[in-house]
Amino acid sequence: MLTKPTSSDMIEGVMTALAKDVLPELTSERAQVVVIMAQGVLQAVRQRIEVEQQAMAAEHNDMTALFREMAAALGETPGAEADRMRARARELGGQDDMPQVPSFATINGSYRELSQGLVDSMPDLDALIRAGNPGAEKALAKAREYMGKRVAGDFATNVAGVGMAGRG
Amino acid sequence: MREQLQEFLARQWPDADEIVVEEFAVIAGGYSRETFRFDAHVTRGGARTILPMILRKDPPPAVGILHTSRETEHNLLQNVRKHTTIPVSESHFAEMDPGTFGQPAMLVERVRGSGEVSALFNGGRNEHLAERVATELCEYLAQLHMADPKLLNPRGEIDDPRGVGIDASSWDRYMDSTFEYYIDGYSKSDFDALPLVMDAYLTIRRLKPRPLPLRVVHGDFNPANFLYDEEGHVTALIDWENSRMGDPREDLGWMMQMDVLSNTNIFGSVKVDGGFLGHYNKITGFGVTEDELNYFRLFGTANIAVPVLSALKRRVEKEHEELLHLYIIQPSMVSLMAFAQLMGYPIPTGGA
Repeated sequence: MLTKPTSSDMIEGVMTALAKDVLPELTSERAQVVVIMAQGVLQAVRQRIEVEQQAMAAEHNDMTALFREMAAALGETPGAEADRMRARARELGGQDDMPQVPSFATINGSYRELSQGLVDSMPDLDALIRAGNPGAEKALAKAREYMGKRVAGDFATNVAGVGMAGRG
Repeated sequence: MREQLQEFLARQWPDADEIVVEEFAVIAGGYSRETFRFDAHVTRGGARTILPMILRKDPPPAVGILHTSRETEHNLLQNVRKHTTIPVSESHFAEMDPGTFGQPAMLVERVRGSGEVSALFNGGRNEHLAERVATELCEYLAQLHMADPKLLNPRGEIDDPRGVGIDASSWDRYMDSTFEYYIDGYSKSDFDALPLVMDAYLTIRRLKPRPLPLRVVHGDFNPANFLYDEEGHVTALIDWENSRMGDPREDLGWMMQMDVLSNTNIFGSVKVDGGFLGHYNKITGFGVTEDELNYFRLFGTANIAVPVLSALKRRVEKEHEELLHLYIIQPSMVSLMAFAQLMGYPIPTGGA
């Protein structure tokens, strides 16, 4: 995966282009309003993407606890409504807690540190291979096995469609 | 811009009674220059001639991808026209004063011909012309590589046109200084940590092939950089901005690479002498092998990767706000996949 530019950086780039290159060229008032709305939607996505998974995991655990606490507050209250509340406490409140998802910055920073370590390993392996070390050839093959998977994943997640706009 | 053009042409052609710029329009596409088309209506002694022209203008430095000189390109085009039969646009002027058009620029002839290369292949309407076009391309490339570099590059302007420390005094020095440019250039182009790119640069250095004479190479010989006519003749090789002294196999490797990535079939369309490589080898006597071709696919990809990834890094670090550079992350990913395939990485099925 790429740690830079982040998805948020990419969306910000689109918003800037809309403001700088598209909006001034639009003569239709309706189109201008649509672009301004699009910028609002994109800004909302930016705010959401870097906290979405963390917030969902944390709130999942808050909600399971909530179901248990609500049922406990009702105690032994009789009736169908109270029975349904206790049933939800058992079924939904009984779900296992989600593991806490580290913050986007933590995951991104740690991934980047490891990737940089791989970059730094390449000249070392190169020097060892040139010195005739057979272990270094094996180590490079291991690295390439991982990087082959990684480049395939990067291709699948970063390339949209075929062809390039503006090229014949 | 139209008025600036008219004023500029009037200064260049003081003998003209009147110069009018008509049909001025932006040409979309082309990632490294801003390009405009127009017709210059030039009246001299009551006679009017219409000159179809193109203005190629550098983008601002931070936005630019390939930092080479329009004056150098202008001089090379003139020398190619003078000393070979390779069809290239007549370069009328290079204007290096940024005060005239905002950035250095060049004005070249707009050559007739189609750039619709996709029509030549995969059942396209010009498929019957593919063999002739591809064969001519092969022969023009061979002619370029057989031309005396002293004639095409008399002042050494394209020994190191990017100004990055390339030493073209011998093949060995050229290759070694280019390896250094790639490896040192990594730190200028690592918009993210890219271990595969570093592996590619080091692999290219480890696998240095046998020498060939250094020649003028086009530098971006690919299926998008030529025009052809309705009879299947190549009417122009275009976009010489990345030309340099180099190993002739660079042009072959890059064409093969882009042929694959563009889903065209220039290489497979030459039938004489066993195909493109056989025909090229027969003319040049260079005896280029398939293995060498694959090496120079990797080498050529690196040569483009360094400036493209550097431009991307400048965008990521917010030196400018152009969307284009974020968009080219996608072809960069395609290039990284190509790097991996050329180096024999095990790629999981379905990854590309």
